[in-house]
Amino acid sequence: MKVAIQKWWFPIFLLCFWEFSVSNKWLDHSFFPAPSSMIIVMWGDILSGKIIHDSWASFQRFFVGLFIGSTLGILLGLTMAVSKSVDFMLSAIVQIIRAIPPITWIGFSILWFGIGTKPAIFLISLGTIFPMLINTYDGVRQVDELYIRAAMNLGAKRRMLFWNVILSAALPNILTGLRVSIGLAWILMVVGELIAVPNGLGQTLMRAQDYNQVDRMLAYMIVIGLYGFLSDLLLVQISNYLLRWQRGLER
Amino acid sequence: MIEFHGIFKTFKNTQAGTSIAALENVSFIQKEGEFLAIMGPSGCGKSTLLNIVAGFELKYEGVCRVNGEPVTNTGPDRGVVFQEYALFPWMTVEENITFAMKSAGKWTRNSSKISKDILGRMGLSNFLNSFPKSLSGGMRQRLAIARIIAIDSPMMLMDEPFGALDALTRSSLQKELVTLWHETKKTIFFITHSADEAIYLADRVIVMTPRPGKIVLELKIEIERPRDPTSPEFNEYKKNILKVLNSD
Repeated sequence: MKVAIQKWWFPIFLLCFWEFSVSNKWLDHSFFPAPSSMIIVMWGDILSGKIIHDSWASFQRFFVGLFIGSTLGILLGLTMAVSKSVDFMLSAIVQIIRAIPPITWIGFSILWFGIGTKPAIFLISLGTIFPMLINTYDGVRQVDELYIRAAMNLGAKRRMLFWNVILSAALPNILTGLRVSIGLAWILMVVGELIAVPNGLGQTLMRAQDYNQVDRMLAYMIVIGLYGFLSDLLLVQISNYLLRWQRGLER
Repeated sequence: MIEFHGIFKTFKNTQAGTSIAALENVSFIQKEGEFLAIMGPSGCGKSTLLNIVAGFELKYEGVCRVNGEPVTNTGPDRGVVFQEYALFPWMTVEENITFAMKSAGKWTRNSSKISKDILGRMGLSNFLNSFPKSLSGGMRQRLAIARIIAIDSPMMLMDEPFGALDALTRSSLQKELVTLWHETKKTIFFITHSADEAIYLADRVIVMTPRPGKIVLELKIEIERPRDPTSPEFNEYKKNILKVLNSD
């Protein structure tokens, strides 16, 4: 409870100050919409089902893209870490494509996938591959030789060596990669939805911008921020559980 | 039975262009059930010898045979206890044992009970669901030993297993190891840099010196167990060993 107060008093204070500034005309509402009017719009959109509808559409793109990207990233990272020839073959391509900002792929994504959900998923997948790939690769490469020696000495076969030793040892890095990927996936989801899709959080935000609905713009920005915040919080919780062995506490 | 015949091993540093003679013409035999200690200062090649028997080190001159067969790989018939414990930190105490038994192909229907019994015997009953990180150094090494007992390895190769422990913990683990050896009749190949530890534990001590690593002394320790490290005969052995080491 004490921590919650320490964490939240300042954001809440800031909101109150903002509200007060707008109602006192220190700030112009058309540039800085008051939090209260934003909350009214947000509440209206929740009741009408609009936010839920948009969220659902966005979540689908988010999860499908993240799933494709992170799965490919893990698989590529593992293969490159284990096989030197694959590593040599792919490392230049990976390093160059990784350096290209995913947003610059918008043109080709429309060209290849048309307009709609597919290019958005493509962008998310493309952006999330690399954090997963790099972190998985590093994680596997950094596995202490001692663990492998011990496991081989105990007679572990390939399958057990891979699942119970190498992958477990690399899990902290893989989860770090996933955390970066989730952050990127939210950004790319909104970017992807700026390209003509019929619904979704980014799309509604775009339209609010076109009609100069500043309250709704802000409401949707906050909603996106909250989803990003909550998804990160959830991942941290899951990571803490999976990596509880690092803290040395008893189960 | 472990046999070394004319083992030579050189470590080359290709970048610096230097090479170090880690082992020079090392030959000896360890009988089944014998408690053998290899003792010497750092750099004398004692750990290299262990790595050769364990099958971690395969590039050397000479012949190393275990039960008559040349060593070509590592395996659960030669369980290793490492100085750094080498427990899997992401597995609980019990899971570490389970993993070892499954790896060694020793997992059967009542293995879960066997593993609990062994952990109980090693004083780890209250820590079944703890992770290695929450255990003390002594507890961790007990678990590492329990792991080798669980896979029922006839040989136990121990690489300075108590080197990182405090004196009190070390001496209690040494006592337990002697008891364990009496009970299980395992062949123990024990690496140490401490003359006291070697004399306290082993049937026979092989003393080595560095640059190049070679055997300089072999001593049969003929003191009844449990041995008293403060007794005159114990000191006699110790004097002999230190004399050889200091003469270099």
